[in-house]
Amino acid sequence: MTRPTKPTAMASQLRRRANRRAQVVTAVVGLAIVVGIWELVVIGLRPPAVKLPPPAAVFATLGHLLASSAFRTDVLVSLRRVVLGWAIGSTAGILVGSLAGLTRLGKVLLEPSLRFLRFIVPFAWVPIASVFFGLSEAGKLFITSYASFFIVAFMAVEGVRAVDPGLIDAGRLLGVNGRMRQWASIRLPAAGPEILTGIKIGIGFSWISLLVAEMVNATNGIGVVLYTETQYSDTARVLALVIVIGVIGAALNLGVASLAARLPWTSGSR
Amino acid sequence: MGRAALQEDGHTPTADRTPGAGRERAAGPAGHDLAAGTGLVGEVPPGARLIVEDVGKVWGSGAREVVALKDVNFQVRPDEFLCVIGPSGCGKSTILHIIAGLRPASMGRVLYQGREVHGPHADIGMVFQSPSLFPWKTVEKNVEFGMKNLGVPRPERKERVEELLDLVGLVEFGQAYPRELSGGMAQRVAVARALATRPELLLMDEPFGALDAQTREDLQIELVRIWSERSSSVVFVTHSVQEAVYLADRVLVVTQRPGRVSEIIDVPLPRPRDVTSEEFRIVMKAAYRALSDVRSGASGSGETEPGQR
Amino acid sequence: MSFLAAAESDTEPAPLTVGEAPARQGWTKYATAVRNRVVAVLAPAAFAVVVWWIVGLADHSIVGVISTPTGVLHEITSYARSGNLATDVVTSLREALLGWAAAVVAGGATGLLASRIRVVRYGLVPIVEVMRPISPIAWLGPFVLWFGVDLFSKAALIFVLCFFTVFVGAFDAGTKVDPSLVDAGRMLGSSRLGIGLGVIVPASFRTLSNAARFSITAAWGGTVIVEMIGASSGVGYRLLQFGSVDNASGVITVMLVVGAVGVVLDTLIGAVLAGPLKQYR
Repeated sequence: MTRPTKPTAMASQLRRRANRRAQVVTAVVGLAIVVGIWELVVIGLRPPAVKLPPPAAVFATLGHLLASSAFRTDVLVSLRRVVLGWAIGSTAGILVGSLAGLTRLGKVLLEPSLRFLRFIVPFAWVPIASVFFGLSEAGKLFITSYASFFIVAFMAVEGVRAVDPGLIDAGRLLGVNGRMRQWASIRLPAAGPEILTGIKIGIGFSWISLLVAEMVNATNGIGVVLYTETQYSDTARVLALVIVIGVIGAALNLGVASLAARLPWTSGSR
Repeated sequence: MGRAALQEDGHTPTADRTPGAGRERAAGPAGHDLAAGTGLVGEVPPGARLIVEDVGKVWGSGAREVVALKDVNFQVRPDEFLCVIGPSGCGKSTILHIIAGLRPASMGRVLYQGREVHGPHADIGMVFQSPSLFPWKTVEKNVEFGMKNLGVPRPERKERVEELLDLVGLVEFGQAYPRELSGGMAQRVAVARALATRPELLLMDEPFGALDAQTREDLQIELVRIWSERSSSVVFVTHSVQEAVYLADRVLVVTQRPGRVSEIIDVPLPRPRDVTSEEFRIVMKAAYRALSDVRSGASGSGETEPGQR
Repeated sequence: MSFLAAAESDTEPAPLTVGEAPARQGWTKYATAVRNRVVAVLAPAAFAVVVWWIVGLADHSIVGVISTPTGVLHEITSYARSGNLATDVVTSLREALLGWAAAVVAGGATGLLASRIRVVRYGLVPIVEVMRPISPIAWLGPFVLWFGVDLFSKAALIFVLCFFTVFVGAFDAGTKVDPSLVDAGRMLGSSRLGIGLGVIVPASFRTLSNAARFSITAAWGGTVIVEMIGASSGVGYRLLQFGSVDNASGVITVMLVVGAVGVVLDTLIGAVLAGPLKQYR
């Protein structure tokens, strides 16, 4: 009988590194193309600087913004709200989703609410939240947690219900008795991939909701800055803000993605 | 009859095994004894590790009721390799699931070492058609899982895992994840995992069904080797008559639904077996004949005793 | 002689039964399914309404925030009667659907093209990857400065919101088209354009329509949000307005309207996809 060759943790690592490299290259190329087209439009069409400032001006403004400590504080405030809210919402989502998704009562209650409430956009809660919470931090946190909660809970329910019954049987044979132990040792880990997808989507939702919440009703944070800048018609600043928001969005996504990649969850059972 | 060659020197239990009924076993976490809830029932027929008695299984109810099994009776001796064959859908898997305690029988009972089976039991291990390895655990952690639940202390676990991985030939793959393994390799890990709790009865539900012919043959040879080193009882369900005759001491033939044991065929050939030999062919012919009888509905008698032809 | 096992309940599916009556069975089964669905939605909803009412009775101060079922009912009727309901919804729908439709067409076309033509892919994908992480809301600033506060800037925002989902869906679908279908097309003498229209588009239809369906919900929700931030008309604006005068019933009314329209939109699309367009799936 032939002994199989050793699989390489090497091979998958190399693959991952190649992917990352490809992503970086794509991002850089994309950036170059966008800036390139931008510059061409500015040179070719000569729009007024009020409408479309050249890239150089915008980057200069960006530099000024970043140099300002007030702005940096706003960024940090927003970041904290987003990450905290997302963490709270995700945790709650995982717990509620994975537990309620299993009980019959939970299924009955959750199914319609997850399906219907999904249409009642989280932001509709903003007015209520602002009345309830006023300008407090709690309000912003509520919005960001809410945004993550539903998607994570939804994915958790799916994940926990779609567990391969073979895994459950194997678990029972190996001594996993009782619903709670089964939930902890088998269902929850097995739902890992779905849950991870959920929290990856969740950070995006939380980020958008935070921006909206800050634009509507807040005293500090990037959203406020964006809102006020729009009043002043300083296009360069507004565009600089767009860049900042984009970068933060990308950074958040990357952060969560690399967090997820550290965990050994793999998709599907063997 | 029996595995003459292997039985030469008698039955040698491995070092830490205590013979006799009711082995002491480390209590699992919170004093949980996996064998709890069973009780000694009457007299134990000598030499039977597993008794399947009048077992029946009914699915559904009322108009949609389906009788999958009815009056299934057979026994398995210690250190015996039993194969179960039968037409598709006759309930072979169901029998295994009932023995394992994963599904309840509608009628009858299963006695393991004289105790009635109510639920999964530490002494009974099972390997399924798909390996069902936990994808979030490494190979080592998969194999270790059952032992952990039993409260086996760490150093001993580590030792046993190494021993088992060596047994199935996958020592270098301890840190690999299931998705990195081929089908055959994953199935071997599944076997190692099932053996980790030192079960004295191993149930196997068409474990090689999803593998290609070459791997399948390799694993059959491996299985015989592992089994002879471990000496536990095995009940192995398969579609392949050749596989059954190659592996088993006795072959059970199950009828179509409602399934019951129609015949038991002895395979008194020494191991390792030569599939091309005349004796092998004879036994296979008998098995094929039994199978076609069952398929056409002309099944044999219901109850058979071990050793009876 | 039976015994009860501690084993869990059987999970094996009911086996096939032979010779069941076909047609009539199908109809009653469908009716039961619908009935179950309706009950499943109405029961918790009714339960929630009852709880809501009781809470309002129990604690008067909280009524200022969550209102009462009757209060909301009043508000709904007056909102509808005044004609505002219709105007607001229409205004918002215009923005939402305009942006969404444009995104579906643009995203679908570019996505498919990018998936099949290398040049397009190398050019477009990097741009998309760079623009994607930018929260659509960030574009509010530039769009307002460029397009003013009217219909177009809102629709543009919705466009940005939906574009990427559709693009990714189209790209994905385009790359996954069964190559043997393409080969068959080639063998039958189709030109490249012919294959594009005749093979690629239909083959990717399913994924595309799913993406379109999914993003209409986002489009609607997005419209409401955008209007909350900077608008003088539409549902979102109304929501904020009610909020600013502490009209809790009004707020809840608008939320219900938003939810209802969302459900209707989704159902409509679902129906269209299941009905007239079914053959393409």
